[in-house]
Amino acid sequence: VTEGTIERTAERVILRYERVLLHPIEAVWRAITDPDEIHAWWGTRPEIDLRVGGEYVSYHATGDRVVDHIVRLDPPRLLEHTFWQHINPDARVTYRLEPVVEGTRLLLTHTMTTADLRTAADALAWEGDPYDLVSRTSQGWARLLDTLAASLD
Amino acid sequence: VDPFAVLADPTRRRLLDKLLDRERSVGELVDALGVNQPTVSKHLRVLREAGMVVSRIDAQRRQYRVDPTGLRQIDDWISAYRRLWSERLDALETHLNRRDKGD
Repeated sequence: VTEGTIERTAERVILRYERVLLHPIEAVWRAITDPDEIHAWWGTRPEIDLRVGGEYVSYHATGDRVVDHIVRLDPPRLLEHTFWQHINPDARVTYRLEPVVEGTRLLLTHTMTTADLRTAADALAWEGDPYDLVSRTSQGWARLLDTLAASLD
Repeated sequence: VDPFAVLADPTRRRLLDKLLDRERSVGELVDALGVNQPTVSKHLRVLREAGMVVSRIDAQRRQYRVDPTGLRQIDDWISAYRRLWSERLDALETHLNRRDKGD
């Protein structure tokens, strides 16, 4: 598992990941924008209206239907969308792709504000330690990924 | 004390930002934020009670700096997010590799 770096100010948190994928940029772009392909690795099939302002609707293991929006788009290099917009209005997930000799460099950033984190904790009726909540979500996602791995084997 | 409630206030976030690089006196914070001294002192007290800043007396002036203790819960939260994305990207990579072999 490659860990991301965390850039934190008192105002916002940016999680930053960089991966070199041994695949051409078009293949990686399809994998992050085609609903069927996303289904294969994310575990659920989103509905995507691939244009700036278009809806990015995702379904979660919890049963939640989450409507997000595409903020920036420059195929096949840039995709940015909101992330749980109704409870984290300022959070953004940004994929940046860049062709390199080995294939494609993927830069993923997840930006959130501390104010967003507070709102999210409230909206999800969090009580007590926020770590408990994330652990529960984390277990949900881990199960999802196990299912995915099994279905591909 | 709920660390998220403490950080929900924009003035307190600006105070912490100013203290991230080095310790500062109340006077310096008043100048840096353009907020009056009673307001700065009030917010510093909240931050101190939340374990997010500590102070010491230096040459008869109280100097404030960031205390990581109170920020730990938030770090825990963020670290959990960090792991989730790592897992997602692993899944993406695995997907691309399998699809390549399948084609």
